[in-house]
Amino acid sequence: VKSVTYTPFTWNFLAACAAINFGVGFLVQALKLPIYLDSIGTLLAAVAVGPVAGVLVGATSTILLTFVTAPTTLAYAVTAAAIALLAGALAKWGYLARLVPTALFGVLIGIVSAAVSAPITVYLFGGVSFAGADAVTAFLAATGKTILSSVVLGGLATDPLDKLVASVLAFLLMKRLPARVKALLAAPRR
Amino acid sequence: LSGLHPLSKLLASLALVAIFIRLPAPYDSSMAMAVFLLATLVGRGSAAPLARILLRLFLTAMLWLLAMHTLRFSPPYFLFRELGSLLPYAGRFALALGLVASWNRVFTKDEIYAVLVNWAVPSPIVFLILRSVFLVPQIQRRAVDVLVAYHARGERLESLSDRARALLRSVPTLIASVFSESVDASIALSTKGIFNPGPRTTMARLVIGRADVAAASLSLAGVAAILYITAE
Repeated sequence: VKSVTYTPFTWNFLAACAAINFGVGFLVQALKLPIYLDSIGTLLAAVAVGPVAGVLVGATSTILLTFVTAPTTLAYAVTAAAIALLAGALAKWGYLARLVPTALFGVLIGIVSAAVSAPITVYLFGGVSFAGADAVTAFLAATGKTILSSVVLGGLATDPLDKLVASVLAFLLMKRLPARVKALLAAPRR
Repeated sequence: LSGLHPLSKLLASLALVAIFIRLPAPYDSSMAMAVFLLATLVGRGSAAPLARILLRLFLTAMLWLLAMHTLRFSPPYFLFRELGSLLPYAGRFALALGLVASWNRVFTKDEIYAVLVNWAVPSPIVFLILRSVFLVPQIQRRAVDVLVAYHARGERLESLSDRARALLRSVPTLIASVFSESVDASIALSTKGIFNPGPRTTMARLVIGRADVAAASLSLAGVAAILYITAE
């Protein structure tokens, strides 16, 4: 993990990333799209500032989501942290810098996200996550699969696609960041 | 009232809600709240400022109770039951947003910041959470503006591809504007000296004074009185 001294701009950037997680998720819901896109800010922070910053953004947006969605959301802070750490680690291999690695690693992040979320959903909440994947989980459970395998497969049916789209959007955003924001992110941090 | 410590405001507002909910027959608690809200809206003269302050206290208490409810703490049963039964999922979402806005009117950001920092929460973490909370309604309002503009231009949003295209076109603009504002906000922070060593230009030191003790005593006395009356 690279050492970063956080400036006032860094903290403002991270707060904006946390709010973006929430705001884009809201827009996606309003447009009735079958994905979540509630981790774009986490991915941006993890790559632009560092994995620890991504974890902070993930935790903050999870706390915000907890207040307006379901109390169970708080438990998924672990998933947000895993996404941030992985995205930050993958940055050195071109994640959010080149399109092909971004797409491939986006799918990988989705798989890891599903794998980390599944035990939380099963052992803390009995298989119900209050998310769109619940419908898939219920269908799989009805076919005779165990709850754990149903939740894992349900997550794998939704998370890789979600994180792929989120990663590509984050990649486009990194390219189109305002010039003065790019300059401040690239400036030596004092 | 506005000069009270935030903790006193919270205690007073909690007491107010408890008193409303425990109002004895023939007074109905929801009816009392409705009358109270109406008085706030139409109030004139010296009663209006007081009614507005009471409304803010009430809404702040609701936010606090909502937080407790959401985090699954254990508030008194009757408060928990009232909130749990009255707040369906979608309503809770709208209420939370409204309460955050009300919270903003009750406390200044600097005041909340000072309280949390006094409780030894690391100041950058406090800033991160509070700044996010204040940014979220702005982003949502802009997202709604984008959707309204789409409808006004007669854009088609029926099919999945139409909606995905709308998302791809609106998200970069939405996010770029938020990041640009981050630069301005960081300049303001640097000017105030926040996160930097040395003296700061803002950061009120909050103390609990005699007025706070009086407010807390009155609040507790009010709750005790209503509990005594309803127990009779």
